[in-house]
Formats: sequence, structure tokens, C-alpha cells
Amino acid sequence: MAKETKIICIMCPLACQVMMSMDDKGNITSVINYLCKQGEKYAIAECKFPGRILTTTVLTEGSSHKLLPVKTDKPVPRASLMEVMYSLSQTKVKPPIKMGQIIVSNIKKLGVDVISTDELPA
Amino acid sequence: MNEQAIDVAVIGAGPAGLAAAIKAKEAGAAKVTIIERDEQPGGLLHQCIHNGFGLAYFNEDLTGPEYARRFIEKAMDLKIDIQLESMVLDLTAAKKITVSSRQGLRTVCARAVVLAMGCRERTRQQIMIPGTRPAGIFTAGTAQRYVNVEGYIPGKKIVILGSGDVGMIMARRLTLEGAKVEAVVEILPYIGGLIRNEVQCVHDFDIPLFLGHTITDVIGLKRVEAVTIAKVDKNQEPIAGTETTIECDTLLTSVGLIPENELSLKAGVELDPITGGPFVNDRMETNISGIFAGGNVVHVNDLVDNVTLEAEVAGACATDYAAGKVPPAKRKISLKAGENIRYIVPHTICAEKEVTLSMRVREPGEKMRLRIGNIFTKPLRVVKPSEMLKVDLTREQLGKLDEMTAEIEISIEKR
Repeated sequence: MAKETKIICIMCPLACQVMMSMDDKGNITSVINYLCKQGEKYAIAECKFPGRILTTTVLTEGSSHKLLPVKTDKPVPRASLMEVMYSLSQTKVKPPIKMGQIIVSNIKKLGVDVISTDELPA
Repeated sequence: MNEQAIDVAVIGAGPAGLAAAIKAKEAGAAKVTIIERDEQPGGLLHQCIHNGFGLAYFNEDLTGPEYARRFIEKAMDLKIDIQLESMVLDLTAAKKITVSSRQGLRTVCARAVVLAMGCRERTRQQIMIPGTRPAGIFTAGTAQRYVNVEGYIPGKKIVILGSGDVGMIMARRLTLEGAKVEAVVEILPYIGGLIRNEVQCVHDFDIPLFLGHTITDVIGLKRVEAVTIAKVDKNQEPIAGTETTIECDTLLTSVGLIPENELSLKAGVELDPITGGPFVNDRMETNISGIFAGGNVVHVNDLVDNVTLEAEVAGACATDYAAGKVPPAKRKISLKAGENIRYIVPHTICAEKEVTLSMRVREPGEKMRLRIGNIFTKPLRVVKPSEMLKVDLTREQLGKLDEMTAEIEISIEKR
């Protein structure tokens, strides 16, 4: 079954509603309704891998800061965001923590690390 | 009372204050002090844990705390004096600053001052939402602090009024934390924030978006139980018979930001009623000589990168002023907001050096052209009130101005 998807380009305020058609194997057969090359590029990338950098917090122990902000070092597939969130809700960290330090490596075997985006002084 | 004499005093250690102070120090000011009421520098960036910061300034995608840390470390390397837990109570036109802290009152006498107090959120009261006054109504920024810094979730079933960036970002954040966002309600027929936030915060999570709707009632005595929303007509008046009630325990408002200028007024700084911030020239100087301003205290920006750049101008020019290197202002040309321009910052230019103009439009439009007097035109595919327009004018372009020019009209016209 061929499939059509609409992807809103976020590269500029114009927000082109790019229409993508795919064949039954998931290959992109046509890309229409965009006004610049960026739109085409974005829509194809978004169609092939709808991933997002996940930013959230983890609980701390033994710190005056209750939470430590963290992010994934690479995009997480959109469909996996909630399972990563659930997994991180079980994570607790202790100071000292440096910025960029790995908090959880290869979370949920997705090939991405969760890293600290702030420091937690001792 | 304890007195301190310094070259450049910066009020506020958020992104604007840090950038201004760093630039002031780099430009050669010996004594630079930042006065900050919070217990840490960085301002609101600490609670903005999402990414999307720094794309323009660093060409990198950073989170708020990461963006803040770069400037905090730079300020520390430059040995800039950051006075924390210090509240500025008064500022005079003579640049005398009264500061309150645990140590008591003190006075800071500065040669030049940079206002960098940022902005604050408009509240429910200011937009007069009808209904009861139960618990469970927060500004989006307050909810952001609860969730991202203090570790509390404000509710389980949420309605968000206003589609500004903070509101949409909180819609995603609360969804990720397990709450159900029932609706984002926007009175205008278009979204109030950036397109990337509409896609990645609202559409990604299938959050119902009600454009052209407003809240007509808040229901609940002790705690919010529901809100009633209705469609609005072109005058933004609710249309009878279109009401729907949405059950919820929490209402967040994301209905605009207001530059924080109580202190500026004390010093006699004149404010632009449209931006809510000081009138400034191209050196980011206010009407009071030696008092400069940069960032959201001047006008609400949509990107922190622009706040940084603007505050850097203020910091560098404050240093020149403190050193007595004030360029003689030969000319003062007013920038006049013409068709479909809501405001322009700076308000006046001297036309002797390059300048970056920041502008906002009143109405969205497509296939437009920006016209700056008779010296500059630029075709624009699209303009939106939520996306700031920035134009760098070069010396050559400004050189085209007639010597008698006293005013330049800037407008958006149909192509």
C-alpha cells in the first residue's frame, strides 16, 4: 500500500506543509509542496528518522539541587521517548557531576547516552 | 552606608547581564560588577532545560543550562565581580545604585549602568479570565520552575491558555512527565510561538490545539475542575453557542511577557509603550546618559542568542562611556514604524556605524517586502508577529542617507 504523509518543515517561519509519498516498501517516491531545498532535505530526513533530542531531569541524592538536567547526546526515535522517560524516572545521581558526564549509557539499547547538561557540585 | 565605586554596573545576571558584563570587561573596563537577586547567575536559563539555544550564536544546539554555563564560566575567567542574593532597590539618573543583601544596604556608584533585568510573565489577572479563583492556575514559567527545578508536577490534567513558546514547551514537558495536556487554547488564528515548537511540542504529542478560541469560564471552588472554552469572532469576542467544557485540574497561562522596568522608571528612563522597554539609540543607551539596556528588558526577544548580541552592544558602549569615550552625536535619526511594523529597536540611530535592527510585524503575511526608507529593501517570503525580523545595516547603506534625514520610515509592503 502506498502511503502519503504530511511533514511541516520547521526550517523557517514559512512552515511548508511538505507532502511525501511512499511506496509499499517505505521508499520515498515523491516530495512536493516545498519552497526551498532545505524543506525537501528536512522532510526526507524527518520521514526516514523522526528523532528528537530528549531533554529532561533526573533526581539527585545528597545535593541541595533536587534535580539535575540531562539530555540525550543523539536523537531518540520519537516512538521511544516515553520509554526513555520511564527508565530515567528510576535514575538517581549523586554529586559531584560534571557537565557532559554520562548519566546512563546506551539507554534502552537505543545507542544513545544520557548526559548531564549542568554540573552538580559536591 | 558602605559605598563602592565601579566603572560598569550591570543589573541582572541572566543571559543579557552576563553578555553585557563580559563584553564590558573585554572592551577594557577595569571594574565590572553584576548585581543579581538570585543565588546563582544564569537567570531563567536554569529552568529552560530544553534545547534550541545557541543555534545562532554558537552554531550549536544547546540546552538552557549549557548556554548559561558558557557565559558563567567566561565571566568567572574574566574575574567579573558577581554580587549574588543582592536586590537593587533604587537607581538614580546619577547612576547611584542602592543594593539590599544579607549584609545590609550598600551603595554602588557606577560610571555607566547596563539594565539587564529581563522580563516577567503576564498573569491571569492581567488578561481578566472570568470564573472562580481556585488553586491550580499557574503561569507557564512558574510551572516550568516547579517541574524542572523544584521537582513538583503542578497537576495531572492540564489546559494551557496561550501558544507562546513557554506554553508549548510546557505542553511537551508535562506530557513527558506523565500528565495529560487536554488542550492548548490560542485566541489568535495562528500560533504565538516558533514553528519548531508547534511541531515538536504540540503535534509530536497529538495535543489538541484550539486556534481562535479563548477561555470563557474557570470552574471549581477549591481546585480547578474544568474550563469552558469558546470560539472567538474577529474582534476576539467569544461567540455564543460555541462553548465546550474541558475537565482539568490545572490551567497554565502563557499569555505574553512584559519587560521588567520598575527600576528604570526610578532613574527617569523613558519607556516605549509598545515594547514596554526603554527607548534606546543604536548604542543601546536610554534617554538617561550613561544608562544602557539590553535584552528582554528592552523588548521581548524570541531567541536568547539575540538577547546576548544586543546586550553585548550595551556592554561595549557602557565601557566607552565609562572611559569618557562618548562619540559626539552629530545626528539622531528616528526610526518610524510604518505599515505592518509594530516596533523597531533601536528607536534612533546616528547612521555613523553599522547597526542591527530588530523589528516585529503586526500581522502575518506572505510575499512581502521590507522597506527601510530609500536605502534598503528586502523581499520576505513570510512575516509573522512571533518571529522577529533582523536586518544588519552597513555603513555603505547608511551612507546613502541624505544629510538632512531626521526620520526613516520602515514598512512591510505587498510584493
